[in-house]
Amino acid sequence: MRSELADIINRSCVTIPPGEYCVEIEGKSLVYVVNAMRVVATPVTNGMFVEFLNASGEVNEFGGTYSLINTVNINQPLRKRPGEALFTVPDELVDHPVVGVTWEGAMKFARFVGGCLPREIEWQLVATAGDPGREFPWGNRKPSPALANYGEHVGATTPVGMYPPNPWGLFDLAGNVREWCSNWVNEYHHDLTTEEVQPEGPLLKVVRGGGWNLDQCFLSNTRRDYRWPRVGSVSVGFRVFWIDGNVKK
Amino acid sequence: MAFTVLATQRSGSNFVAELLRIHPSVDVLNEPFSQHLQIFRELEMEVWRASDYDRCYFHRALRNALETRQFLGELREWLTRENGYLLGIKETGLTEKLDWLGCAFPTKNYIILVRDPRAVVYSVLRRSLQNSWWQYRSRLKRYLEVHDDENIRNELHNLDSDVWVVAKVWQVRMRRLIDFAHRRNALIVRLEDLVESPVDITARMMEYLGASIHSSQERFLGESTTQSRGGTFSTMRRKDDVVSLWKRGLSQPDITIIAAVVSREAGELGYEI
Repeated sequence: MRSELADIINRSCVTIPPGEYCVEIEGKSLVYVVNAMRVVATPVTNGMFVEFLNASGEVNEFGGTYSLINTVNINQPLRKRPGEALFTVPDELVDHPVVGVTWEGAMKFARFVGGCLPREIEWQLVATAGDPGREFPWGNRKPSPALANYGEHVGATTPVGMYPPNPWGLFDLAGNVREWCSNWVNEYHHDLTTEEVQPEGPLLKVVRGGGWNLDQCFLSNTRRDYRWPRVGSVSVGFRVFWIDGNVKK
Repeated sequence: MAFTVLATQRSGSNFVAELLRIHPSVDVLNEPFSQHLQIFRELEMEVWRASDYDRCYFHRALRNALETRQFLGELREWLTRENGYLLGIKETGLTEKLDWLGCAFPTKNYIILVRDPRAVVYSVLRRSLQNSWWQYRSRLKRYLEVHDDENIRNELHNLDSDVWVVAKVWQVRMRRLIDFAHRRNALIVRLEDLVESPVDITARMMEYLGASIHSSQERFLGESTTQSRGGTFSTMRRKDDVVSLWKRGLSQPDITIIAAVVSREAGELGYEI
């Protein structure tokens, strides 16, 4: 099951062209060298996450709370039917991005399929398709409901891949769901080769890209957003990256 | 510096939480108790007092809920760690546990969001949320049955009326919110004032929290009150819908029932009913 899921995800991967890219975060210009990087073209879907939960044997609910995905919120579409051991999702929501995932849930999924979560510098590089002057994934046109799912125009998530992709063929980078990144909010400029440790500062992991229920200001490629990693929220999902040998100069 | 936003349900708290969160230095956790911990859903409207706060277990009811206590411990650390960000929580389902909350999760500032109770009752009824989501009738029945006051217990016969049930839930919760606001020197914000004078009231909230209004908040205010869109918990509502929709939806007998239940608390908040 693990390999089947990995195969499904691999088939929808986009390879990022190797090279040297400029990324601007909080006014700082950073140079990032891509040696080998692949990214899933869309956020992880409900269908994929159900496969993961059922195949991995991870325990989600215990002691009155959850660890991977918020199933306390009765709006959450991923459920175990009474008396059943496996998670299910309604057919009409299989292709929607999974939401309510904790940072740990996102990390475990990514590792399960052999990938990782991106640092935000990597997420932003991909969102801009390597051009730091690109304000939104689609370009510099003002956001509109035809370009992304945001600001309650739809009022819910939409199936992944419905809106125009960025020049590298990646969908839903702006809107639909915000995406967990691996770094803490005050660690965006750190050396990429070091292991990240929990900071003395705020307990906030970065999320990027805006969401279906959020204001348009969160759609910008450079807008930083953050969340307590312990909770899964209705507009937070994630995307899997494969990164090998990249460096920040 | 940590803060708490408290409100009754259907009072625009998602809108206010989003408005605050748009500020680049602010984050607001949406219902960290009632949307993330099963016990707070199950025990909604059960009263937890300040004296129920337990330094070991948060509350004796959580004695065997190890993971829930771990979650609460992490939440407290998240909320109270000094870090240059304004971090807050927003809750609508914890009104019967406010004094416990104030001991277990003390924050410097409290914003209490209120709305005309007629608009709240209408908003709950038009989506039947009193049954499907919040189980008001059974919870209110339990709340009234254990109440010390015989006059209140005598109100149990009204439980057949949806309008009365929803109005009564608002009244018992608002009584607690108003009393808590006075004890904690909270900032009370009326939703109607916020949509009428959005920039001024937002600036006042931000000043109360120790920050200034941000341009992205001003832009959001301009857009969010011009068109109603989205689902049940949307942050986008036309000003007229917030203020006046109930007038077209409630009957005069409904309004009379509501007025009989809520008049004291509504009057204290400046609503003429």
